[in-house]
Amino acid sequence: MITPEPPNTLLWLAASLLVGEGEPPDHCPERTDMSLVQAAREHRCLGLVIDAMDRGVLRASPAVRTQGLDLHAIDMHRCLVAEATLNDLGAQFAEAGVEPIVLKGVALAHLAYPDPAWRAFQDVDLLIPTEQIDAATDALVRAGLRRDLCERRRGWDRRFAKDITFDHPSGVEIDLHRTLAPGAFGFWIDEALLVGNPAMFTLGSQSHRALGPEARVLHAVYSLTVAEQTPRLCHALDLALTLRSSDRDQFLGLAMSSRAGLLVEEALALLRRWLGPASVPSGWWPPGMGSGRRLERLARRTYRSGGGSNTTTLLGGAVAVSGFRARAAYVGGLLWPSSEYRSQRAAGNRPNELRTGLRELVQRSRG
Amino acid sequence: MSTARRAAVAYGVNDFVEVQTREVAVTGRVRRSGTALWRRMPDRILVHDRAEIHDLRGPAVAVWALLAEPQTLDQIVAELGDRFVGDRADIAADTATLLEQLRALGVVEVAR
Repeated sequence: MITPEPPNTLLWLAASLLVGEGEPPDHCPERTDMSLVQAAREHRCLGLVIDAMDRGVLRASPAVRTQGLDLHAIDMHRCLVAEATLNDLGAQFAEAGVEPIVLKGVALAHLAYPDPAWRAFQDVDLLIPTEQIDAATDALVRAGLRRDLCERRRGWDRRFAKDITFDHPSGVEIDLHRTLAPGAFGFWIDEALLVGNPAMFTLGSQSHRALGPEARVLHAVYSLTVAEQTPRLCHALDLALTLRSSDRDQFLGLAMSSRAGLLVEEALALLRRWLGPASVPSGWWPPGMGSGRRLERLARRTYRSGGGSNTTTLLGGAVAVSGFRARAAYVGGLLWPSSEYRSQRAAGNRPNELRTGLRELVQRSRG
Repeated sequence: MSTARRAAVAYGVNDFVEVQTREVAVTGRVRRSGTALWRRMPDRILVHDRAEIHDLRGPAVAVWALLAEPQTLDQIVAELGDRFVGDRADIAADTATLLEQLRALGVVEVAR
């Protein structure tokens, strides 16, 4: 489902979090209605609206306030279940010698936001070092978790997969990520720089590793540009809040070695459009750094925008796979996955990848 | 109505387990368990006890905030007595029951 752009009132609230509140602008309604509550929920930042209602910055009828609080409680309920699920998996990973790095909402709620209730999330996303991918998937299978689809082809997970999804009995989806973005930009990520200098946070009494601040900024950049079907306001806030505590020069090194300059410029432009020029500290990103080389610009064009499948994105990834044999294995795996994989996709009523991809290619060449 | 249920009603605590209450339910200093997962909301606290999530409301929100640091029952009752209207003996009894319930759930522990 495509998430519509955030309404102006929500953007103003988010910008207030960064630069402090001024007078509510003209577009702020006299009274908050359920449409703002629903929009905030879709953008995973209902906590901001609830807090503003509580402080009297936003006025709402008792009915809207009560419904808002109940919906927020449902979201926070899910967050707590996800956190408890992650804590439960800690022992299984430790036993298998796997050192996951917690990504996205779970880590950001605790590391970037003044109050974890301001950042909602649904799944547990873990970055697994490439050499530990097989051990991590085995550990989850042994723990009784169900994989949503089998491996595309033998060796695919470790070499080419963006992520592997498991369903936990708690109802929480566990995504094991080999990389942070699909397609070419995912292959270009400098893994050594990405996982160096990790941060720590605790859930209850259990410690977890997270990406360091510069890597979290880069991940937020991917979320706003190529990793999600449509960007959410929470991703913009993730970026704005995290970049304030990151080292600019270290980030530049990571972004450029991951060939992500083009995406950084795009993400910062969206951030400025949504949250105002003050959301990006002046001089934080040198002008012209994001023009990108021809190959990066070409790769960017393979990413969907506002719907469709990710078939062209995956095919476009071939330009970033090093070596003829590896590239052949990658394209071969995309075009001819195992029969078990194909039958599981069909049983799950997922669209035929080849047909969808061809249709997209034709549409794009006409567009 | 049992003491436990009365305390649950008084504290606005939903779906609480009934526990055996004693004359002096909690002795010594108690605090939030380090293993508890929770979220603060304007009107409630959500607490995960490793099995399910409980919804603390009303004065229980204030008790949870106080339990960030080790507290004796007397300290909590004194603080609540300043903030809420009610008979001090009832507040003490209800608070003792609440603490015992939270301890039975494993989200509150006796401070060493």
